[in-house]
Amino acid sequence: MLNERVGVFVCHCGRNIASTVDVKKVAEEIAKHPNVVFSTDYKYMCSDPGQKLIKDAIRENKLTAVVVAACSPSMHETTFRKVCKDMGLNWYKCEIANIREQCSWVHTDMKKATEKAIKIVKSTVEKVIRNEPLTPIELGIKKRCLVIGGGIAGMQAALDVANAGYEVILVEKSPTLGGRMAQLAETFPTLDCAQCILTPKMVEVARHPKIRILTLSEVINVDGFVGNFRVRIKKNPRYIDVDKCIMCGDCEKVCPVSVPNEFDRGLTLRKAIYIPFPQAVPPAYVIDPNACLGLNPIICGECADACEQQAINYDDSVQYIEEEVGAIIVATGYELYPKEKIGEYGYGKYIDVIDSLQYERLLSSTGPTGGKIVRPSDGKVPKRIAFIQCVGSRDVNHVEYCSKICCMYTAKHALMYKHLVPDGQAYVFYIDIRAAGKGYEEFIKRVQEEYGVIYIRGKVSKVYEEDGQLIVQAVDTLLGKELEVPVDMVVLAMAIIPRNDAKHLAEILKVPTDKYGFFQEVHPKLRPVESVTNGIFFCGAGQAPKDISESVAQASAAAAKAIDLLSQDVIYHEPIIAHINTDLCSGCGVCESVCPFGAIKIVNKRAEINEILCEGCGACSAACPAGAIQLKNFRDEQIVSMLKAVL
Amino acid sequence: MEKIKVAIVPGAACGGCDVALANLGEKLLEATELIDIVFWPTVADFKIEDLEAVQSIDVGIFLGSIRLEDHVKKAKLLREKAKYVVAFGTCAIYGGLFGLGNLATREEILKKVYLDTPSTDNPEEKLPAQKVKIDGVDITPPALTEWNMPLNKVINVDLYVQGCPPIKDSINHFYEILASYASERKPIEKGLTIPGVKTLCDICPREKPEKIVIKSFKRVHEGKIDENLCFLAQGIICLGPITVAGCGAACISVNMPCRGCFGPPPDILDRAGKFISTIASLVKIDKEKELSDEELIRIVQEIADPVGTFHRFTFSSGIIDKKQEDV
Repeated sequence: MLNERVGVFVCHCGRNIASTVDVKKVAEEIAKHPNVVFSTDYKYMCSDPGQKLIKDAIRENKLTAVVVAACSPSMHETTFRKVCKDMGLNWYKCEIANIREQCSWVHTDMKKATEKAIKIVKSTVEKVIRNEPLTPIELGIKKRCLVIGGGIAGMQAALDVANAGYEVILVEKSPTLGGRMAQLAETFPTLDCAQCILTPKMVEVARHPKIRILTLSEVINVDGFVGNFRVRIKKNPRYIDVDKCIMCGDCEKVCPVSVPNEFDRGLTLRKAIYIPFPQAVPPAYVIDPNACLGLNPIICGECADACEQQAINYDDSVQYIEEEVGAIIVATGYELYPKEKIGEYGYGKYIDVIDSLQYERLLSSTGPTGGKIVRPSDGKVPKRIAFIQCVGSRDVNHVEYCSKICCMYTAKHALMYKHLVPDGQAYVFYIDIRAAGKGYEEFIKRVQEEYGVIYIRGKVSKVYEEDGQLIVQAVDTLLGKELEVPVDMVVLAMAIIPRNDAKHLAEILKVPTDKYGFFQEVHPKLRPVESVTNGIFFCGAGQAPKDISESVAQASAAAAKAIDLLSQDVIYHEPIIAHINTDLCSGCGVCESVCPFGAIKIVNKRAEINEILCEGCGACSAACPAGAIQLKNFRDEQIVSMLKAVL
Repeated sequence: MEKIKVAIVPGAACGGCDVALANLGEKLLEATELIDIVFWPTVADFKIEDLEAVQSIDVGIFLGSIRLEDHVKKAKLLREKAKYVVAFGTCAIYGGLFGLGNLATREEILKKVYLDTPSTDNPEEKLPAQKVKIDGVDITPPALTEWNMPLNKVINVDLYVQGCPPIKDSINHFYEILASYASERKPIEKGLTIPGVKTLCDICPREKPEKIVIKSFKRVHEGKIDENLCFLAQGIICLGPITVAGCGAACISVNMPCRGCFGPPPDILDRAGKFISTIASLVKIDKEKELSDEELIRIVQEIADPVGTFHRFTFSSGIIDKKQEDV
C-alpha cells in the first residue's frame, strides 16, 4: 500500500468542470499528496488523446494505481478501467473521483469548489491505494428464458428469444394466451382488428418448438441469480385434457352453472366449464373450480357425460414445476382502476355506465352483441354517448400519473361509435389531449373534424340519473360554462394500474416497483427494460401504461437484452462483495436477517456467504456487530482513511 | 533466574480488578518465585515516589481509567519504566462506567456534586484540588482531568486483558504469558487481547430465529422474557453480539440480557455507533418496504437512554467520546 504509485488525471470536461473548478490547481495540489507520483489535467480525458495520456503516464511513471477526477463513475468508470487494464493494471486499481456531478455542477464559488474537488480526489487516492486487485467471479449460464405473462408483450418477447434459438418457458396465469389485447376490438390508429393481428401470433407461439407454454400457472418462488435462476411454478389444474378436447362445446351446453364472464367483463355469462374465447391457446375448455358444483360426478357429472372425447378429468390436481433459466422477462400487464373507488360517475350504480374494456367488448365482433353498440340496460342503440377521459388518472385523489393510452382509444371509441351509429352524437370529456405517436394526432383530428365528435374540455364532476335519463355534469373550461348533457350511455376511460399480484411477484423476484406498483427499471432513459437484479427484464404495461406498439417494441428490447445475456458462455459476477472473517464471526445471525438477497446463511455458528448471490450492497457489513464482515474495496479501514482525507 | 519486576497501578477503579488479580489464589505463591511486585498500592502502602524510585519495570499493569491528573502522571511514569504496559479490565481499556461522566463537563460535575445537590453542606464552597491544611500539613488533592479517558489515550498500551473484572480464565492466560516471559524470557506479543475476539453469541445457548426481527423495543421489566429465545428477537436490547465472550454468558444464563461490560471485539471503532447500526438494521426488517420514516422513528424512540445502553462501558473510547460543544 505504502509503495503504491498513483497517477491522478484531472479532466476539464470541456467547461463542465473547468469553469467552476480550478483543474490546474487540483492537479498541482494532489501532486503533493503521499503516493501520488504523477498528476496532470486535460480537456477531455475520455477522448482518445486523453486515454493515450493515461496510458503513457502509466508506462513512464510505472504507476500502480490510477485516479481519474472527472464525471460520475456510472459514466466513464468502465472506459478508464479498460485503459488501465490495457496497461496491465488490475480493473479495481482505477477509481473515479467524481468532481462533476458532485462538485462543479452543484457549486458556483470557484475557490470553494476547487477546495472540495481537491478533497474528493485526495479521498479517492486514499481508497485506491488500499484497493485489493480483484478478479471477477466466473459463472456458467442456463441458456433458457422464463417469460411471465402471455399477453402481447410476453408473446413477442417469447417469440424473439425462441427465434434466436433459446428455449422459452412462457407462464400465463389465465387459461389462455392473448392477454388484454384479446379483449380489444379495433386498434388505433389504423383500425386493424386486434384479434386478426393477435391470433396468428398466439398460434405462432403455440407451434414454436422452442416455446413451452404453461397456462393456469404462476411463479411462486425464484432463487438463484443471473444466468442461474431456479424457478418454482405452480400449475393449477385445467380438469380437461388439452390433447383430447376438440372444442365441440357439448360440455358447455349441459353445464348447469352460469357465472359472469370475466372475458366480457361481466356483460355476459359463462358456464363453469368454458373457453375464454374461441381462438384461445391452448385450444381447450377449462373448468372453473370455484364455479363448478364440486368437481364431483356424484353431485354433477353432466359435462363428463356429454364429452365424447372423455377429455374431462375431475381428479386433475395442482402440479409444481421446477425450472432452471438464465434470464427472466416480466410482462404481467395491467388492469383498470377499481370502479369502487370512483363513485361520482355512477359506475356500478347505473347499468349504462360502463368502462372502456366493456365498451371494447361491445365493439368486438366476437363480443356479446356481435359488434353492435347497444345499451346494457335495454338493448337499445344509444343515440347520445359520453366518453369520459382521465377517470382516476391525473388525479391526486386516485393516481397521479397519466395512463397514456386513454386519449387514443377514446378517440377510437368515438370514431367506431360514429361508424356504427352515424346519426348518433358522441361527446368526449377531456382534460388535455395527449396524442404523441406516429399518426396519432392526425387520428384525433379526423375524429373531431370528419366525424363531428364533440370534444369538451373539462372535468366531469358527476354522472347522475334523472327520470331515467343519464346526465353528465361538467364544466366546459374553454367556454367557462357549466354543462349538463343528457346521454344514453357513458364510457369511462379508467386509469391503468399494475395487476394486483404484481407487487407479490416483485417480492418473489426481488425487484423494485415504483410507488404505484409498476416495475421499476434501472434507468428510465438508458436502461429502460432492465431491473436492478441482473438477468430480470421488464416489458409491457406492467412497467408503465403503454399501448400495443410500445409494448411490442419494449418486448423486443427485453428479448434482445435476454438474448445478449443467454448468448454468452460465461458471465462475470462483480467481485466487490461481502467477505466474512470467520475468526471474528460468532454467528449472531444479524447478517442473515438483513441480507436482501438471501446470500448469507449461518452454518455451525458461522456466517457463510454465497459469493454469487451477493450483490455487494453492504447491508450486512453495516449491521455486523462484530466487525466480521467487510465489503471488498469498501473496508472500514478504507472508509476511515477516505474520511480522514476529507476532514 | 532473575525475577521479573511487575508494577500494578490503579487509576479510576472500583477495586474489582485488584480483587480479580488476587484471585490467582495459590498461583500467587508460585508467582512470587517468578515475579517481584514492586508497586501495588492496594496491597501495601506505596506512594508515587516508590514508583519513581524503581529503575526499570518489566511489566506494568494498569487498572482503571484515567480521571485524575495523578493517573496521567502515574501512567506516563509506568510507560517510561516498563517494557510492557498492560491495560487490565474494562476501565483501563475503554474508560469503563466512568466514561458516562463525559456526558457532562468537569466543571458541571464538580458544581453538581459539591455545590448543587440538596444534601450538600459546603458553605465555603470548597472544591477538590484546592490546597487544604490538615494537621498542619499542606495537602493538594489531585485534580480531575478534563475528561475521563481510557489508558491508550494517554500512553501506548501493549497488551489488553478484557473484563469487568477479567475472569479467572483470562487472568490465568495472562499469568501464563507473564510466567513464560519470566522463565524463558519469551517476548510478549504486542497488541494481544485476552480473551480474544469471539462474542457472546458464540457461546449463547438461546435459540435464534432464522430472521431476527425487532418489532418494538422493551425493557427487561416489561413483560415476560422467553428464557430460550434470543433477546434481540424479543425486542430486548442485548449487547451480546458486540461483547467479547469472556464472562461465560453469566447474565444471559440467568435470563438477563448482556449489558456489555467486557467490551467489544477489537476492531470495533465505536461500539454504540456500530451497535445502533446493527439494531436499526433489524427494526421491522421483514416489512422494511412498508415501514414509514415516522414509524421507524417511533420504534427507535422506544429505546430508553441510548448512550447508557449502547455505551455504558465504552463512551470514552468512542468516536464521539465526550459532551460536544453546542453547534
